Amino acid sequence: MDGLSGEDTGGAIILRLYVAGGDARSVEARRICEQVVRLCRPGPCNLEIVDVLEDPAQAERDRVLATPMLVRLEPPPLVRLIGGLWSTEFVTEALQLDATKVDEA
Amino acid sequence: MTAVWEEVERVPAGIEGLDLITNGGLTRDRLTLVSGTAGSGKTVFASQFLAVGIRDAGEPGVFVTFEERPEGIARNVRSFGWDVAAWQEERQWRFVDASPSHDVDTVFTGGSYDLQPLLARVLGAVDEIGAKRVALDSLGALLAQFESSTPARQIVFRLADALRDRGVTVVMTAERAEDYGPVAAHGFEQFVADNVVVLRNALEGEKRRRTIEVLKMRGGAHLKGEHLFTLLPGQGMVVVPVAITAAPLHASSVRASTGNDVLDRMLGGGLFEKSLVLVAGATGTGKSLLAAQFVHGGAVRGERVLLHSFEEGREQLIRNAANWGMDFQQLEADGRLRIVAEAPEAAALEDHLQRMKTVIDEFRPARVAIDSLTALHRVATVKSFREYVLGLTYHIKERARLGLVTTTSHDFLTAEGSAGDLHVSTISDTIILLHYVPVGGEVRRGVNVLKMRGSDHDKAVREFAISGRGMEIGEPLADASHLI
Repeated sequence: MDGLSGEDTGGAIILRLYVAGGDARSVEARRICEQVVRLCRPGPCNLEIVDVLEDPAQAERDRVLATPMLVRLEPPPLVRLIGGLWSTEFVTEALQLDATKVDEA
Repeated sequence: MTAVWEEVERVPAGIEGLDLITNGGLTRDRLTLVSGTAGSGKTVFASQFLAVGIRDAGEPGVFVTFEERPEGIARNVRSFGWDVAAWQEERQWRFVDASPSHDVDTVFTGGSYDLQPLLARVLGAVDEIGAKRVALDSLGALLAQFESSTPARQIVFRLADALRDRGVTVVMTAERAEDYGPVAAHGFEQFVADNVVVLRNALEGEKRRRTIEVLKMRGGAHLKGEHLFTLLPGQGMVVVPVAITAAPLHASSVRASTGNDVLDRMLGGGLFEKSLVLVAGATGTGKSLLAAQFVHGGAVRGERVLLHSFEEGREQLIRNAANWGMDFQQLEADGRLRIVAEAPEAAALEDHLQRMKTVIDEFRPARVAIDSLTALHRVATVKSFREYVLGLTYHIKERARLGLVTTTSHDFLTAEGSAGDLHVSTISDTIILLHYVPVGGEVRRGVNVLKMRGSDHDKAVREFAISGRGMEIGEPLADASHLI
């Protein structure tokens, strides 16, 4: 599998990743999420990254308790993954991106 | 207990009675664990700690909720007189909403994580409003949100350290499964806490019995054991200290009249000031008369006196007094006497106690008489009654010059037995017994002084009659071995 492609129909995928500073877990989670976005074709797949140490107010608004945490904001329902991310495949499966938005290339 | 005295600054918890039990309040910059079963009052404790800090000490507070939504907490504590919404406007109170999110599917990846966002949010809120107090409610609800307790445990330790460094005083609540089970349900909370307080809401018979116990308080002595508390509208949690009863508060050698000259002589010259008198006897032996004479004796000397009756309504009381030659109506009109007459069943024991304390604090009587404790006993559980009596008598001794309580002996045989049953005899400085005595073919009334702390007294049982001049005590009864 060399890529992920979104279905032609339907809206955007919106992901938000919460990290805490630059520790190893956060760096790895960033890398995996950015790869998910790149492989997601034709998109659009938007990724927003929130560093709770820089923006505790955003963490407060979103009631974040743990990092790393990846949230699928769109499409519904809301899903959140708490804990270190293993791989891009793990993310696409856990968030069912392959089933809803992704075709095997 | 450490033998080294540690100077630790105290922060009044804002809970009446608790500051007395803890000898000044919670220790500043430290974490106090408040452990209790569901419904034991943990959230009220935590809210009150913040509310009173804002109201009385001008110390802003942050409430971190892991279970209830902030709006729910604000709504629930309104009846205690705490306007959380207004304080939020004034940046005196901040919520950190860490309650569970039910509108989102949560998947734990199995990869590691930590609770840094929680730490950042709490410290962010503390720094933003300059909070001096933080409430964490509750530990169990925090742990329940994660599949492993390790990250939560780590963050609680880090949070406690960070708050201590900022000079913030913390109250953290935690669940227990049983009122009398292990204190540390989660196995680590005792290590993060400097102080441990336990709240209980046990059923005893058919009655609820709320108590608070300080298990550990760093840097100072505290009163041991369980103390009753109640939740009152407009006040919140109020603790009834079971106090320092071993020694009289202020031993005095100043004598005061019982309101009856002969009885004064039997006592070796009258009652000592700052003492508590117990009058025990069977129904109809004259206890209410003695109580009436006691308050009357003070009032006619210009003292303010309080008669708290659970035996008779005020009209009947005033009529009885008139029959004994005492004008209670006039004394009340003069503002020297206050009569409070209530049915025991009209309120829970704790509420009765709080009302009585309020009247004592407002009216500031020199003498307080309660007729009778036995009537109050009907609405109490055995265990709570003891604590209740101790708390009440301590309050009377502290605030008034003289106190008198009556008890009824149920078995008509040993008046002393009844006093023992109600746990009053040991804390009474003076015990006066009233009896029925068969003499010849008839039954007469007898009175004797059983105990008079710190003084010699007349040991004889003397006959007395009840007339328009009250209690008329005569000669010793020749044969008092048939007391009934």
